[in-house]
Amino acid sequence: MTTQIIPSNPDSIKTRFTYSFVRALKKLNKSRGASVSPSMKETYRRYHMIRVASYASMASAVGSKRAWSRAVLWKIRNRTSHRALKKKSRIHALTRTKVRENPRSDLNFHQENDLRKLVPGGEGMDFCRLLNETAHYIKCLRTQATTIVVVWAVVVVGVIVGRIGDGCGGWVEMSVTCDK
Amino acid sequence: MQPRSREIPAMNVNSLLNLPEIHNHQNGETHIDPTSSHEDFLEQMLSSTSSFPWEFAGAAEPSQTDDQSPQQNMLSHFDDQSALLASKLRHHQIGDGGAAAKSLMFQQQLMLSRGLAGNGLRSPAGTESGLLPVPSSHNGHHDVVNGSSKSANLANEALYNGFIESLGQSSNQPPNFHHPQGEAIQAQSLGAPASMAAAMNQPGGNGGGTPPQPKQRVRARRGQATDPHSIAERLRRERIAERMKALQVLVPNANKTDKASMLDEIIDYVKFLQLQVKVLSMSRMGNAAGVVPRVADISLEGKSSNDGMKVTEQQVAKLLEEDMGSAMQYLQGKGLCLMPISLASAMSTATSHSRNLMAGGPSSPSMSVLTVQSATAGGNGGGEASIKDVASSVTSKP
Repeated sequence: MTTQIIPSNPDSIKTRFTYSFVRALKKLNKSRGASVSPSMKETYRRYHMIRVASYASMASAVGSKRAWSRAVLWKIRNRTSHRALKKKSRIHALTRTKVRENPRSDLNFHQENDLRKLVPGGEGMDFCRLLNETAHYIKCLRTQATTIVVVWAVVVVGVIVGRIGDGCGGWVEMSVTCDK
Repeated sequence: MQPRSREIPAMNVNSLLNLPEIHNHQNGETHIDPTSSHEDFLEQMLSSTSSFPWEFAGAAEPSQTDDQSPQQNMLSHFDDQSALLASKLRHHQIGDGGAAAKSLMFQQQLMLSRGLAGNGLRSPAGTESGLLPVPSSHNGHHDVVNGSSKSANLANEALYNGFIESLGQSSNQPPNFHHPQGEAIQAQSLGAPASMAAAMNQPGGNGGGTPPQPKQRVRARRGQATDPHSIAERLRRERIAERMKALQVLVPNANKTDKASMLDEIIDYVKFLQLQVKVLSMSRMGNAAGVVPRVADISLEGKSSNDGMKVTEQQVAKLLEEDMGSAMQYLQGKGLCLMPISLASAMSTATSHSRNLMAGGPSSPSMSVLTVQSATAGGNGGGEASIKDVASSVTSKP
């Protein structure tokens, strides 16, 4: 039942994300406990944890190179004191963005603001940098989405997939090592 | 000298480009779109014009040949003229403001280009494409050095037209009267090409809100004292445009030229992606964990599951007739999903050791139902399928 995994691009973000995400899922699975029918609350809590796990693994796969990944990691690590800090940082961020407001960008000020809220860590940077981060963020979100589907197919459905033809997007070559 | 002369054409373009933004800023938001659409146009044109002083610098400095003297003569000639213009400009500015300044500027440009054409100054490469080069950065005009004289005239005409448009919407400029003065003085102290560029800068140093005059359309620019700021703005502007283009590639349906709608599109796409990840991670993975106890009673091993599947299928088919949503919900409740046949068949054919992979016999031609396998994997008396390693590798994705 064991097969070897040789990712063709071992250092890509996708690979790192997959590794860490699956690890996180395993941990979650182990700590699931023996509850037969989890309550609603627990189910939602689980959902939340999975979501956090996916974002965290994505951010750690990206590393600290990007402002948004740093922001995500920081948020996750400081979640207890996050609320208090969030208020402070928001105030600071608002003043900062006001100061930096530019004739250039005030045409799209609302949109810029929206974008800042969407992209993690987008509060405290200028518009140019924000666009940069947004581009990278979009790329990573996309890989995250597609990877989750494939991880699901393997982990949940238990598919051992060879090279899927291009009709399906053709990007996956994975095999699963598992023990029963 | 050389860094100076390089820098000033950049400032040239910078300050030239500042004008519409300043106009925009002061117009409120009334004239944004026409000017912004011209901004890029102007940008391109100006980069071509900015190549002219650059050409001088480039031509004058490296070519230490006889060419230098006639050029320098011309340059000094222009120098005088520019000094003259600068002084004229000062007076004009105090009176009219930038439009006159712009007109003087433009006049100077015209003279310059005519001089170029007259002397038959040709760059070695002599590209025709100098008309509308797209500057990728403020160093882009280096590449445009090869503008030929023909393109110079064309560029001037284009400039002309462009300026008419932009000036038609110009508004009052912040008075920077003292700046051009300082600039004029500075200009004369610099070398010929630099001074020319600087002199060209000066009239641009003050925006113009006066009524546009047909012939003397000069683009007002910021004074040199604020030039670092304008350079920075110019750079920033270019970088923003670059990044918007990069984003356009990423975001689907991004064929909109308008910056505002582009931003809207980007925002919507980011929201969509975030929602997608959220839904996927919750529904898929959540099911992985949460559905195990529920599906435990469905034995998915071997043939018995076929019956179970059939029942499910029939149920799904029935639901599908009524409402897609309820069918999906039913499936989700069971930890199943709908998947296109192509994917399912690809997955199943690619499976070497298929662990209970079952694609139910499709009741509808375009869908098949996959079962949740972790039920068997995880629900077997606590024996969890501990997945050691899952890795994905990227094959070429177009």
